[in-house]
Amino acid sequence: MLVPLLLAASLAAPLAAATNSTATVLANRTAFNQPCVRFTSTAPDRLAAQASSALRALGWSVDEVVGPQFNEGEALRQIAPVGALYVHSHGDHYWDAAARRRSSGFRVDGGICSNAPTVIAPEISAARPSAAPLILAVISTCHNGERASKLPAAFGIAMKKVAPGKPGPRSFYLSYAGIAWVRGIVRFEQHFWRALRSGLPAGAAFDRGLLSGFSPADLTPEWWGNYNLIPTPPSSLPTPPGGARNV
Amino acid sequence: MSSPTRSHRLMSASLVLTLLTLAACGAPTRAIAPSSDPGGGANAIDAAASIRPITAIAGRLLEPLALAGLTSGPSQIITLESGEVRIEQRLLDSTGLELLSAQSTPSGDLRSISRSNVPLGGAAMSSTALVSRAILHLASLTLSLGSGTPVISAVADRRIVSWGRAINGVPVLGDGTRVALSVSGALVGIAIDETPLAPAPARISTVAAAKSAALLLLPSGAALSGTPKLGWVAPAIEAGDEEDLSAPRELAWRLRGTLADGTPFELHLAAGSLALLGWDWAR
Repeated sequence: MLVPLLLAASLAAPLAAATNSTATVLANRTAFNQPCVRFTSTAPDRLAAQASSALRALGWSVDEVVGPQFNEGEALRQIAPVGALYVHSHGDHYWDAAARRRSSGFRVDGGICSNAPTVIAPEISAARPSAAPLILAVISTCHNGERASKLPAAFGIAMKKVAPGKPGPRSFYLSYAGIAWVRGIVRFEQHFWRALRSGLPAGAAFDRGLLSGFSPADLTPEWWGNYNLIPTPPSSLPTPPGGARNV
Repeated sequence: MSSPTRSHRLMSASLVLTLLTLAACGAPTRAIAPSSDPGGGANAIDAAASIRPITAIAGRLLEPLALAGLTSGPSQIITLESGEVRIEQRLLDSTGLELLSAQSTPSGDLRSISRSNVPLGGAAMSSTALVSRAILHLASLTLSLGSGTPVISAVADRRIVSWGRAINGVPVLGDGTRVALSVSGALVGIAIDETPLAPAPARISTVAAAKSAALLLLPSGAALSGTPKLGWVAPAIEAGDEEDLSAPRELAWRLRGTLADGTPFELHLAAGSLALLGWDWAR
């Protein structure tokens, strides 16, 4: 009886350490493209590519799922073990039938134009029962930057801001409040990722995004977590601030 | 305000690169190495391009940075997503954390200042006081003020005071002067953007013609709302939703509406030909 338990423990420990250094990038392409709409949207692929590139530069091992393969099962399977996550899709406070109330989340791609299945906070919590808090979560959707969003808690991230120079958890959450227009999203995230790659802490990278030329009427970015976090994976040594430039 | 053309920018960048090459060939290696003396001034790139030293910028801030213990990083030539070439300078603390960065055009115009570690919170300023503070920050760096009435936005414990750029009253989307502040008025950053413009069309189509053309492009169940407006916009890649930031801004009719599921959208049609330039829409 003891042997299988010890064997399981010996397998689980290195597995957990390894998976924590994995990041997942998920992007909905189908709903934003022909034939669902009458134009070509290159934004989802652009956003996913720049997120993946920046996360790799920070030392993460990145899985990228863009398009119909980004379905409900794959999303939860990917999210369960990761230490960093990027999602670009529709987002809102969707109906949680089990709890008979609204919860927060995002729609998957699944090859479906509209009303694609959702992934909501309780499903994420259930998929990550004993996982450490996410180090970096960028939820590139509408509404999940609102105080009402349940996603930060599902990722183990408290909805408070740790100020510059103050100690705090190794977590940072970024999303958008209200309606988020895609041109503003692209501009903001270009600046955010570029700043992270240059070695800036996440809070300072967020501040750089504020100068990116988006219209505040079309985009309201919000963050929670630790301003001072340099979001490298746990398996790597922290990247020295001001280290290698990757502009 | 003048509108530098892309070719002008490229020529300027070429000039800087040429001067940099000459400077690098004629000077010892340490001339372009990080300065260990922040008061030491410009390196080869800065000297070649008549760039204001970042130490001078730090000293002219409304809340000047004490330079003791700080190091200026090597200036770098960077290329923005738009293709615009800038020279970036950085000021680092003893741990290597960047406290201040500045970006200038190759001709020496300061275009962007960003500070790190600016405290959150503090005593919240009124809108009027925020505008006054933003003007003082610009003036302290001898940067020109934006024209017109600024817009003040609250974003995640920061405030953005922005002056849009307009040509004959028509806004150039994404351009202008933005000053990001803490709620108590401390400087977080400044950005000044002025992108090249394509020639305006000889004749601008009517609102009615723009609406008719847009209706032909709408997906089933979508509807227009509001009054179309003119704006200088970035044409989109494949006339879709991703801005081609390297292209000159074009004068366009901007028409807003909603898709069948209620998602808001904005359609851009060339103001003269009514050709489709691109879309923007919500997630």
